Amino acid sequence: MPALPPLDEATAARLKRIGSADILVGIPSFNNERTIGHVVRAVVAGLARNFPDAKAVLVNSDGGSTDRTREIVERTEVGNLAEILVDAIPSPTARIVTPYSGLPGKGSALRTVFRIAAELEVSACCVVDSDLRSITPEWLALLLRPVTQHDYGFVAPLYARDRYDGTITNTIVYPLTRALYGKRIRQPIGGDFGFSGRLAAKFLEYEGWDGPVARYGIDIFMTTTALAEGLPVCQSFLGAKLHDPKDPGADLQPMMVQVVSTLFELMERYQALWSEVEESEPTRVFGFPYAVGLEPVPVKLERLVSIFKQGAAELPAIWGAFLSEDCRRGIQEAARGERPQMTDETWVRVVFEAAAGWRRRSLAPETLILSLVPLYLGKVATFVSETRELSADGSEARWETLADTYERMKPELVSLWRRAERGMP
Amino acid sequence: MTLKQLVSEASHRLLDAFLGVIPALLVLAASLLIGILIGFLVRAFLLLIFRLLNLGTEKGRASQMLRAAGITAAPSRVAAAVSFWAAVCTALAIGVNALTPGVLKDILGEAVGFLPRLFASALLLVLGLGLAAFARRSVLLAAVNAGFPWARAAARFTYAIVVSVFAAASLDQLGVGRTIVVVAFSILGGGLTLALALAFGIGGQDLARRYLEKRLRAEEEDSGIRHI
Repeated sequence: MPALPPLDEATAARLKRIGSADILVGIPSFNNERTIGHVVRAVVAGLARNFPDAKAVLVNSDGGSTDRTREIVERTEVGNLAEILVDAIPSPTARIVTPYSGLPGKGSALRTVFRIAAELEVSACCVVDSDLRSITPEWLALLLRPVTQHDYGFVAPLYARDRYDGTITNTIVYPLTRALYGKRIRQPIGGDFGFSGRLAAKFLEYEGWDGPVARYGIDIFMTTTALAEGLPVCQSFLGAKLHDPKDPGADLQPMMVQVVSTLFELMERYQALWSEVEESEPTRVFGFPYAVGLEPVPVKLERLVSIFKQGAAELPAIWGAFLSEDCRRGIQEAARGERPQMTDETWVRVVFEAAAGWRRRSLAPETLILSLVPLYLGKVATFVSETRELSADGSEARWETLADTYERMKPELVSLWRRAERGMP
Repeated sequence: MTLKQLVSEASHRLLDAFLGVIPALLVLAASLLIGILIGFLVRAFLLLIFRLLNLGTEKGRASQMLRAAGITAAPSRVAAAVSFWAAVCTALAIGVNALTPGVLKDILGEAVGFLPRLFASALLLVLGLGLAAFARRSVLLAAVNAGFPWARAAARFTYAIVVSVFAAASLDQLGVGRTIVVVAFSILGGGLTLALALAFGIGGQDLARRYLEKRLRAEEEDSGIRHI
């Protein structure tokens, strides 16, 4: 068992006083004074309405905010619960505001949340982002009740999203996770999750907290661990996910490196499991799906095309270290026209060969994944060109077709991976 | 003295000279053997330590750098090989030091004395090539992913600069044209910096302004996509 993340004295003393709890809600934060008050209100109201008899704890794991984030968490009042909730009986929710240790990032923040969950021996937990504007008290029921009442081990969020929102999820994370582990979880890196206390303790057993899991890799780490450990997994429809305007630190390149390297690293960890999975199955969805008026994502197609074409001209030498000749030919063909036409097969082959290259250590992991950025933008540009005239459902069907291609071509991945294990190209 | 006697005397002196070298050669051979033996022991010990500590494997960054410099062996093996040859050179130096003073000792002494510098120079060059390849790749990727128009030129320029610095340091180690290298490098470096400053500051001030404005308003330059 790896060392647990340290807790500061005040937090340790607070935990001693609390002793144990039934439910824990974790909120990682860093300079979120504009939104965290709303999130805290929603959480406290949600706990009061949905779990009035449970002993609940709210944990804010903060990365050293220099604004009023921590103060807001400690002092935010919910208001008149009787008015807000109509018939709820308010119950006090203990609040713990604690700093976390380790690399700065969401993963490190949640690791401290997991530690506190394990200390308090809670039966159910959920984590929600601190920059949410659309969270409502119902989210708490949707993320926690499947665990407390239906014995699910992990609840993934299901949001209504614009067709061009979450493109790393749509082009890589969702279809690859589905093909690998055989469960259709549409938002594996959605960010807001529910899970059992037992799974929180399992997360703590991981040894790579000094890597990408400490940052953006945490979401796919949580989802994959739940799937690989064989826990019952479901999804909850939460409506739209509206959050603060883009975090300036949330640039594509580090995000891509952290998410994809975590995916590949976990592939190595669970290779015996996923190589046996042949097809996927749907997962149960809780909540009432409804149409949501979404803010359209303004795509700048020219920029996507330009970076893809520049990559196709400049990067073949780097791609040569892990992509086959066939694959590179497919890329060049896709880059030939005015608009990229990267077929699903070419894109899936790129991802599979990149995974095998990562396993073979053909390049430094970061270099390998960064070299995929223009290809990823090329695939997104292809999708944008194909779906501009389609309805939202038509676009979603297009993503499902891509996911089907991942599944159909999975035997190639198994074969590539096995060769890579033996150091063969 | 007849010619025959002269030739015979010279032949004897030559034979004596050759026979006189034999002990020196034996000393050198013995020191070489001891060096090889110690080298093998050091290499085995290092490989064991690397394996126990799980260091210098093919997964690490050092491996990527070596590969970029054209060396495919694992870093642990490279370090072990370097230690082996260092032990051999040290033993040879000790052997040469044990020879009786004379021309042979002087020549061998100089040859063996040059080896460490040759060694350091080669290491610098390999390190430089590795770093330069790394830097070129990083600059190329960062520039392409950011949509920078002169990505390839920027990458090549970076490679040339890093290789030049390490080549100059390598030549300096060997003592080859030390003054010329330093002066040439200073002129080249200074001239290049001035040229770039003038080109970017005067010739391309509009371009510089536009570029900086774009970078400062990176949000506008973004593709608009929300990635996760």
